[in-house]
Amino acid sequence: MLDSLTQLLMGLGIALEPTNLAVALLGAILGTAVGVLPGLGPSATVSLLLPVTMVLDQTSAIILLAGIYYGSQYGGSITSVLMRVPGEASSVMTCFDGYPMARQGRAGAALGISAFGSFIAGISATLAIAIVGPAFTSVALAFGPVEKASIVLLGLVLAASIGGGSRAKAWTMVALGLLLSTTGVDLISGEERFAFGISYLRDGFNIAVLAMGLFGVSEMLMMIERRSSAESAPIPSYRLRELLPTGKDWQASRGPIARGTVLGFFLGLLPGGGALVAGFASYLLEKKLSRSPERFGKGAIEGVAGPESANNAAAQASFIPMLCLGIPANAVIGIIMGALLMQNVVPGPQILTEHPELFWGIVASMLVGNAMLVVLNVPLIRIFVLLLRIPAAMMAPLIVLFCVIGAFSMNNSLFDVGVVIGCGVVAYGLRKAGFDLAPLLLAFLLGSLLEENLRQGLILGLGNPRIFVESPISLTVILFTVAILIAPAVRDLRTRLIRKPC
Amino acid sequence: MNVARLVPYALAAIGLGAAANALELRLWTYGEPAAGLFPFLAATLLVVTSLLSTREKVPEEEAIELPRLIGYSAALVGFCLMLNIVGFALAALLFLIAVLTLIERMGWKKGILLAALFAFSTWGLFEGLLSVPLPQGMWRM
Repeated sequence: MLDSLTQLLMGLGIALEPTNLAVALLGAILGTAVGVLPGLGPSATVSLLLPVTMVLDQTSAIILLAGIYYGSQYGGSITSVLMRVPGEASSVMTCFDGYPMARQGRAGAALGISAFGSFIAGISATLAIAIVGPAFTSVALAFGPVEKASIVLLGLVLAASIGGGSRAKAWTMVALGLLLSTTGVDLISGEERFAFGISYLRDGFNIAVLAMGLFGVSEMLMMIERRSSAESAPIPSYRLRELLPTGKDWQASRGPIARGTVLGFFLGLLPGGGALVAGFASYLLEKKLSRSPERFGKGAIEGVAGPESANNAAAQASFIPMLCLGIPANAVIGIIMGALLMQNVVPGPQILTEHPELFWGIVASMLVGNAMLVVLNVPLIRIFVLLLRIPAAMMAPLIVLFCVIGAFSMNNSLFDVGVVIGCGVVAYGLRKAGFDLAPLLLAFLLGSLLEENLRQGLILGLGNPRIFVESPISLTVILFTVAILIAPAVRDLRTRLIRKPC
Repeated sequence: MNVARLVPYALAAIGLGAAANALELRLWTYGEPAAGLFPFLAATLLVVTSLLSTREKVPEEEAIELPRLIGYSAALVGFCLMLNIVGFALAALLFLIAVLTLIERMGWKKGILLAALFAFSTWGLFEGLLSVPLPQGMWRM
């Protein structure tokens, strides 16, 4: 451990060099902008900057790209809170409670706790990377398709409990999300499913496009359905001190930030886990642990603090499997790995011995970058909150413009624009019929992961599903899932028996 | 009859159609799960849970200004169609003018001015400053 800290200090020396400080600042600013604007994603920006990194040295190049990646995690929550339009797919969870908080005039508190939570999580995750990260990568390898399938199944059962309304309706949305996730070419057999000969559907639906339609456009339709509803938004205060989280907010957020950091760190280490699943897992955990879970979805600050911390911790931790094992956790990390390869650095276990200055320089730059991000973002809260002064009559069409730009920029396709608008109209109908959309989106996200791992697991087990109970990790998770599934029925039965007079 | 009550039935019908489509893809081949298995399971779950949802209460209907909603929906559809023809900047301008003046009843002068401000500044920010490609339409605008 002492050795790791010595190495980290050496890395700090590299990260604090003027060039590296400048590229970290540039990365942080670009990342925040990328996160805020729905038209730009970190994958596109990092790809565009790949040629630029060739003129920088190895460490500076990766510091710049890493800054954009974790900066986008900070910025992505801003439009989620203010407009219910997730700037990044990983900030979808922030919409659930951040937006209701903004409607109650507490946008500043939501943005503040999100910035500070991300900062605390980022710093803690970086220190954890320095101390235990490389050792934990071998633990991550113990999770194969069988274990992952069981974990995703557990996530799916928990997804059904996330929304408001009845369990039957929540499960209907889970089923619809799973069905939507199967659209496109089946990656194992190569057969087309539900594409109906439409070439655009061969790649399936994009999660960010779906999220913009489900939340952004449907919210816009809810906003304009009555003239009075379009005029009822409260006008927030503009003094920074009044905008920041109060002592009570901090008290409520302490636990969620700590738990979100730990959860996000471990999920970030798992290849395929990433920031998106981390935010979702943290939200579910906070809702399960809360004494008043009914507040979630209506503006509970814990629902913002936990997922935002988990997102950022996972974003930092996801560098470890890439650097130490050569396994990218998601698309952005994959592109950053490409930048390393372009610099003739092959990621893998040897990186710590062959390029210690690169590894520790990147880890230390995360500490510096996170500090820069919080300094940049907190004063900006005042400016972001000014957006809420825009009357709903103008905000509604602006949401449409942002959704259209965001959807089109994914694949330069007008089909995606149609999907956003179509999804928004369908989502409006579902909301009017009392269906909650959160389980739908989460099931869509988990659906492809579940199918992929379930089928790979069955192939490994030669078609015998017994393989899922032969692995101790998988068996434990399955038993836990069954317990969660039958718990409400047991509770009902117990209540009935108590009520029945002997 | 409340239209919202029909939603679970529509979802059940979608589930039935999807299940039939998944069956055509086959569920199990060569001792392994085939392409149709997972969609079939998801579609079956959708049918069962949708039918169970029909017994649930539908939230109280709040008064909706139907002409307003229809107007907005028509403007949205028109916007999507125009994107394909005149490109983002002009389509956004026409969409915003229609929404602000015809639906929100803003004065013509103020409506056109605000629409032009929002449409062209958004276009300038994304297309000009950030080089994010926006729809150009058939007229390549």
